[in-house]
Amino acid sequence: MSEPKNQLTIFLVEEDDDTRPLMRENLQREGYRVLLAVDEEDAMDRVSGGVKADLIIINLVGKPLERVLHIGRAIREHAKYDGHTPLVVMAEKYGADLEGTDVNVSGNDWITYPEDHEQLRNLLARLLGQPSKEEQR
Amino acid sequence: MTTAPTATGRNRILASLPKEEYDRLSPHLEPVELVLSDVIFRPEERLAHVYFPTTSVISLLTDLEDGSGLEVGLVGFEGLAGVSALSETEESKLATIQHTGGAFKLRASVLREEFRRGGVFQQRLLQYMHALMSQISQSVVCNVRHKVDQRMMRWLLMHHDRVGKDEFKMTQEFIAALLGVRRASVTEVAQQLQEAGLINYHRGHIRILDRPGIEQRVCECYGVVKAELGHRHSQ
Repeated sequence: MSEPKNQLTIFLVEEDDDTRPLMRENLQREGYRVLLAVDEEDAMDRVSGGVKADLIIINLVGKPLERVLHIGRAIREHAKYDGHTPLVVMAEKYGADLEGTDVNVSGNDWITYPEDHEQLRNLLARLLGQPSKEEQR
Repeated sequence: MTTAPTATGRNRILASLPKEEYDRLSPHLEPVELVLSDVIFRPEERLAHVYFPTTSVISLLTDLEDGSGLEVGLVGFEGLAGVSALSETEESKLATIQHTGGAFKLRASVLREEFRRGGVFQQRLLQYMHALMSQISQSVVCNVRHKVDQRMMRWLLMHHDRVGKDEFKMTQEFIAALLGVRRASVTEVAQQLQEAGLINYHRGHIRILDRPGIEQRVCECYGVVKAELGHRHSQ
């Protein structure tokens, strides 16, 4: 099956073996090309190999969000991506006060606290200049 | 055989007792409300009371040193929480309330006294303990061998069986903790089930839209446990 022209690519750095295939399936179903890395080291190897992406999602459990943000920025820098390539850090542990929010920490760097997948889908669409589900209706 | 009056609520063990046995227990049954997330007992406790849920649902979890847990059993109107009280041994599970609702609280000493009399009560408790052991062992197998989507569908059906209504409140964080998986996995599975038209999930509210559809897709573990409970209680 040929890929649609102008298909946007998401580089997903997700270390959990259960979550990774689920996220890939859902993002692919939404029309994205998805490239995977299982951890920071794997991500660095892949970008060294020339992986190109329009957006990076990173989800590393057990590390402070600031550290994950730092790793995400390092991956983007190592890949020599445009500094405007959006970076989305997915939070794992958070309370009801943060649930449902997307925080713009600087430039095009975001931390999302999803309450459902639709929130992530809308954030990606917004960052990639795509119409959201509501706008498509 | 005359069964207990319906005023006992919906607990199946109590409702199945002959009047004579029920009448002995009845003065000791204290109706209580069990509230979501409350803990009714912890590992290493010797239980002073047991609980016969009517509309509440109780989750039995293994409790690990790192603070994480994993649900290995679910107790609703079909059973009782606190079977370790029968043998006066220390409890090995953490029991937390998964769905707010009613239960009957009974002193462990009264439970043991009535159990030692024999009769239908003893028979029902032994049958239930066997069914609970099956449920726990099947949960272990499911948690090891089956993927998150299968485990989550099994959990949804087991919970749905016990709450008796299509819509219930349950956060992703809570489900993730019960299943021993990452929160993001629950988010993504919920999305897939929603896209398949099986459930609706929004802000911690789950609505079952197509139960037969979930039953078609769920792993065999759900059917094994359900058959065991149904079989034991029909004897």
